[in-house]
Amino acid sequence: MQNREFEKQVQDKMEGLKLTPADAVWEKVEASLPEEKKRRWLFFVLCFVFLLTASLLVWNSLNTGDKTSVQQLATKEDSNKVASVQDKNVQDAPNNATTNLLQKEKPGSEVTSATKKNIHFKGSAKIKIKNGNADLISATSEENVATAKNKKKNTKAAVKVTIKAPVAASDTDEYTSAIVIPADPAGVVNNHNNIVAADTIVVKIKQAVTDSLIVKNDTAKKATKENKKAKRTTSWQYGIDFAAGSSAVSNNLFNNKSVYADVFASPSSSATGGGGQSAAPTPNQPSAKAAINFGFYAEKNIASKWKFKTGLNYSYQSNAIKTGAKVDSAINLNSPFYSNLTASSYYRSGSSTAYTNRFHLLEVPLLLQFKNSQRSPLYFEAGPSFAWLLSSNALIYNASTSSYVTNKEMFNKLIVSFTAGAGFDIAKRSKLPISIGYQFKYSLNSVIKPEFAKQHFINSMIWLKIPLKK
Amino acid sequence: MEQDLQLITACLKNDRASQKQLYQQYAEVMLGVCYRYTKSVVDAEDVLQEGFIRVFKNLHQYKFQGELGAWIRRIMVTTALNFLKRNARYQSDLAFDKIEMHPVTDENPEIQLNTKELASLIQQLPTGYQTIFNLHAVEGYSHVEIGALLGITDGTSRSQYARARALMITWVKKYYLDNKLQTYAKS
Repeated sequence: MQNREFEKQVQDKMEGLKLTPADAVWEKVEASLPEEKKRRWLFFVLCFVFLLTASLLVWNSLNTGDKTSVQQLATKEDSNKVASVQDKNVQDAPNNATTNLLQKEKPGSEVTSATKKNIHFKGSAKIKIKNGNADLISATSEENVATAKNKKKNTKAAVKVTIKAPVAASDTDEYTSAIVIPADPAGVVNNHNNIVAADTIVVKIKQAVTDSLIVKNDTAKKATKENKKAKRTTSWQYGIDFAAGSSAVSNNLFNNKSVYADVFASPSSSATGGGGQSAAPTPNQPSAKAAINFGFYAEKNIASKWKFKTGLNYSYQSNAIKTGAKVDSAINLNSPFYSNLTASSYYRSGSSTAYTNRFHLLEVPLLLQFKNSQRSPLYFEAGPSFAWLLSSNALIYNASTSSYVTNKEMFNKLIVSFTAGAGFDIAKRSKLPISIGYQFKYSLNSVIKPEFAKQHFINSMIWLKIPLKK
Repeated sequence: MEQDLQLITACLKNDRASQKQLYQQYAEVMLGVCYRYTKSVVDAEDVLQEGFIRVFKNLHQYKFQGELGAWIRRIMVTTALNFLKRNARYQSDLAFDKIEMHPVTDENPEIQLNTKELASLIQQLPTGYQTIFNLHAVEGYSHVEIGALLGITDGTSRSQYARARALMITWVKKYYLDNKLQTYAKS
């Protein structure tokens, strides 16, 4: 037995070896420390809130623009008879219009200035114009609309009805829509409205609950229903999509733990205070690298605002890791979970070699898309996606051999991910109505089996969607 | 231990003052560790810097199952070994050729050098010897463990250590004799 007196003397003396480092050392260490603790989840929440807010603002502005345009709101069964008379000067109007109610009223009183603030109204009315004069023969409403039959005087209010119709109409024309703007939004009764123009008539409504009223006749209502039904039953739309961005792996979306943190103990677990046991080198963490997705998609309307989207994508994910030198000889991984698990080559622990972990997957997304309005170019999508790992060369740190190895037994084949994102239609009515958007994807299960490491994919990607059939 | 817990918790919250306190608490000792594995204070400081970056990056892995100092020390040793492997100045000297087994001398001379003198002697060993001498004699790793760390066989580690130890004993004796002669001459 070797006498270790010499070693003991060396140990004792070296325990007392202390040297004062230069101040620059701490400055460099400090420079490498993060400014604040990373809160990735907060970042993603902020991104989501930002996207939501931006989309609402854009939608709101687009929607407001639409409502001010009578042209867009007016739909007439006979398109030849449709004309916009928005903002027409009342004084210049050559023809008068009256309602069956106002025919009894004293002419000469003037319509007060109408409130231009528009609000949707659900209801219907039948409007007929005879001999060039716009006479509202009857008006019926389904939902709290003032009608000619309404008798609740205290809820009456004068409104200005703008009919999008040619002034010189035929004997009897039915118009599918009109804008009704209350002259007195507060609901003040006005029984002395004047007949002002063929395209502007005054009617009374039951409740001035709206600033604007879209009046539709029964025919239009049926047509709208049919249109909606037709849209809902539209056949599959399909096309190709392409996405590119970054791919990273993480132990958990909500913390910065090492991907090996849950697998084997940290160096402290074998520490004895002064040495004497094995030193487990700290395995290097993979860092983010490129991700690419491309493939076919198919989508279908399932409701007025909802679409279902699926497809088949090839997905390439990668990340970078630093290892030691490569050794081209077989190694037994001494895995307690798998007998005779080996690797044909391995990389030593260290940081001398830059290595790219690559993952090739086949993916089927099952997403729901939400679009608040058909006119809105913005939409959101979310849902699960299922990917099958085709192959990977990813190196995984093996603690028992202190080396980085790869073996297909170490990977989970089925990766289930959650996807969320937002898209924006560009040139919707052109020949190439492409969409672009952002997508965040997080794999709910680890791509590496949990006994070896815990690596969840985190993707942040920009995508492009090109429809082939619409 | 309680103090360590508080300090680590604050460091994990990225409290800069606590991080500096942790650094200052261990920097001098750890620079001594790094110094033994390198050939100069400048290189030792490079290792120390890299080591502390890794300490702060992996602090969440510390599970309070041993002394914090020992945990940091292990990271410093690992960092030092990585530094030697990737640094061109050390790489050629770090080639561990397979050599014949060398019998370990049973001599255990008294070391009359002070700490810094002994550290300087260790530094003067060829890098391969220096590394294995540090790992075995100072840190207490077994030759099997050293083999796994450096990617060599335990036999190579034993042989290298035997040579390093013999060299160190020769130098210690010589220093002792020189010192004695100087003392004699002065008297």
